[in-house]
Amino acid sequence: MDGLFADLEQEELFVSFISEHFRQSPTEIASVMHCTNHIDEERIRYSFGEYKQNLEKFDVFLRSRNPDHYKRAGALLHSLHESEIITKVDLESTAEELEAGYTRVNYGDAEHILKFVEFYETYYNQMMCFDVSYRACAAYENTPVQYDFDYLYNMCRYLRSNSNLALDTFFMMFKSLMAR
Amino acid sequence: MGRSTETGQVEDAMTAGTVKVHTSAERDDSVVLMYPDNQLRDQVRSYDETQSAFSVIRSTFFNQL
Repeated sequence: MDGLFADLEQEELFVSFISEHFRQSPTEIASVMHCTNHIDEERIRYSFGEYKQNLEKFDVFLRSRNPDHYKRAGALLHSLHESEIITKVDLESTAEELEAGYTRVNYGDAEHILKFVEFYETYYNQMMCFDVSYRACAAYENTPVQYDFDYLYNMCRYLRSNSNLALDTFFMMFKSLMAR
Repeated sequence: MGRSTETGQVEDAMTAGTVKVHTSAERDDSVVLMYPDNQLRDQVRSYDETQSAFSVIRSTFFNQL
């Protein structure tokens, strides 16, 4: 077995891959004002432990002991969702400040990024953990189903409102999205 | 609903009275059926070639693809 999911079974590769992903600031915001994601490496290591444990839960039911990409993506999303890797996002100006004009950012740019800033400052963890899990799953899917913002928004809102979801829920998210 | 025994057999309460006893092998099969297609295949594209949430954001909020 090789590929991304094989790499993610190794702690150091998991930590570096997830760190790099969660450190990315959206360029649309960063090009206009300061924006930094603060991440906690301990939480990433905790997430790795959860991820391995999730895989073992699937392994119990599988003769192959080698869960498919839907289960692995579900295991990944579950572990990242539990861990809340980003501890805070430093924004030079909040959405409220941009809207009120209490900002260095000029009116045109503020108006341009406002809606996204509102979304990002509410759902940064949910968006990032769904993004990395979906992409890992899509890398193994012959014809990955693409999603739109409506789907992303609903997913983020669902994740944020539900902190204690079962592992199978996450597996079914990817199975039902991709395997049509 | 079933009840596990120490010998690894499962007694099916649905058939109480004519208790049906499944062997361990049968039990494994029924569990495996919960998760068909149960093996990781080869990766078919690189991670960078997959749709990112940022591209969805870009096309939604910034009208760029």
